[in-house]
Amino acid sequence: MDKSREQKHEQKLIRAAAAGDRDSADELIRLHQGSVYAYILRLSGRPDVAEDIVQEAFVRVLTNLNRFDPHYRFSTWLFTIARRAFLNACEKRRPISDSDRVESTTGRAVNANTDWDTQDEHTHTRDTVQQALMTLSLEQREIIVLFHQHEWPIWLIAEQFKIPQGTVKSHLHRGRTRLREALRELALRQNLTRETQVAATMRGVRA
Amino acid sequence: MKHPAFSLPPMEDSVDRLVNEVMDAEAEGRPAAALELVRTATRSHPGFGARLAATRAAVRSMRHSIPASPDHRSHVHMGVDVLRPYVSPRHRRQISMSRAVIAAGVVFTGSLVAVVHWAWPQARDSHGARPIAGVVDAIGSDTATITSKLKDMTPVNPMPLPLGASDMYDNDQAVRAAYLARTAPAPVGSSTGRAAAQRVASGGPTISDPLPPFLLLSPAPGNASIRPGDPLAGLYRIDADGVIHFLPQVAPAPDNLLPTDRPSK
Repeated sequence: MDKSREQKHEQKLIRAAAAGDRDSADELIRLHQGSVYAYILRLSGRPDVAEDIVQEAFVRVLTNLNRFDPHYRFSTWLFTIARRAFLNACEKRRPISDSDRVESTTGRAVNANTDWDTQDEHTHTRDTVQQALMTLSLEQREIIVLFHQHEWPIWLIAEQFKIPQGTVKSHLHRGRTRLREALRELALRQNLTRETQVAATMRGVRA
Repeated sequence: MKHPAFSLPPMEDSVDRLVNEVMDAEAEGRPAAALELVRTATRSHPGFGARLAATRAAVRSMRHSIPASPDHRSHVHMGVDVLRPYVSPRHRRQISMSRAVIAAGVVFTGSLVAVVHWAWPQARDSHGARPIAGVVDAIGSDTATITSKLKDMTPVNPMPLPLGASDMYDNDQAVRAAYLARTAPAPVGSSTGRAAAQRVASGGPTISDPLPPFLLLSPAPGNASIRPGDPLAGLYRIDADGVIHFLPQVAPAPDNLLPTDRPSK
């Protein structure tokens, strides 16, 4: 199916779902749940959080379908709502310290890296790429994920975050470099661990 | 004091800058420019190829390891049903039908009102009555204005209430003439006129005075019969034209006027 036909089909589904057709809503969820889940999972690093956020985002979208402007892409709207839900969840889960209060009063951006990185170690995904991504700042992570995983063009990312295209490129360049370095470090650490394990096993066999 | 340069993010080194330029050119669909950049960079920076390959591999790994999503449909529908329940196609049709019926009813009622107003325009106007609003507005102004507003006020023309077959008065000239003849005020010099004048002088009619006759509105006055058990049977008679005549007699006690179940005192 070519792009324009795909878009027409999607518009039809949106209209039907807005009119209360359950099957069309079902189809919309089926079409987009994979990409939104992957996006939020990459941002949060936690499958349980990603599932909650995706469900919340879809509920919000389906109950406000009549507000959707068909001139925009549905996926962009859905991602915006999912991202907002994720940032809200970050705000709720984040322990507020005195220094954070000072930062929030001075208007500095909230770092949405949250304490999810440090808590509940065994629920973290063991995906190396995910671990490398979690070393980036939230902005870099979002832009890297949208550009390289979801193949959004630079102008659309800039529009989404309301920042100039140059800033998007700057985040993208630094993010790529950081991701490459993080993956290299992780690979080295894994090799070291493996070598240590092999050495320990060999010692055990000799003994 | 901290130098502002220290707070800036670290600058990209030249090899990384070249790597990003190549990748941007590839992403923007300029393979020839990307190839040219690779050739130039490989000549000037020996480690460029390895770094480009490592960056590509890092980025490619993101595309190859997209996590599979669980099915959220049931959970989403549950959430949506709480906020805005879906309606079944049958229920939707019923809602549409009822809306159509209501709309048709509104249109029909509006048309009916319009037809009635068109056919009987006297039902629409206020029979020449001037509202009191003009007088109210004139309060506070000079006496002449208030007087003129009061003069402008005209009472509502009394219209016969549209009850029963009241059009008999207008349509049936015989009935109309009989009614007018029987209900016309008596001449001043006649005996009936004198009696009426005496009643007025003595403070108005009493219950023992006969009431003026009036016309039944039934289109078939002959059918108006007096029931045998009617306690008022002796108090009136109905003539052939349907005119009721009240007979003069002693006023009955109120308890005897109508049958009652109350025990007599």
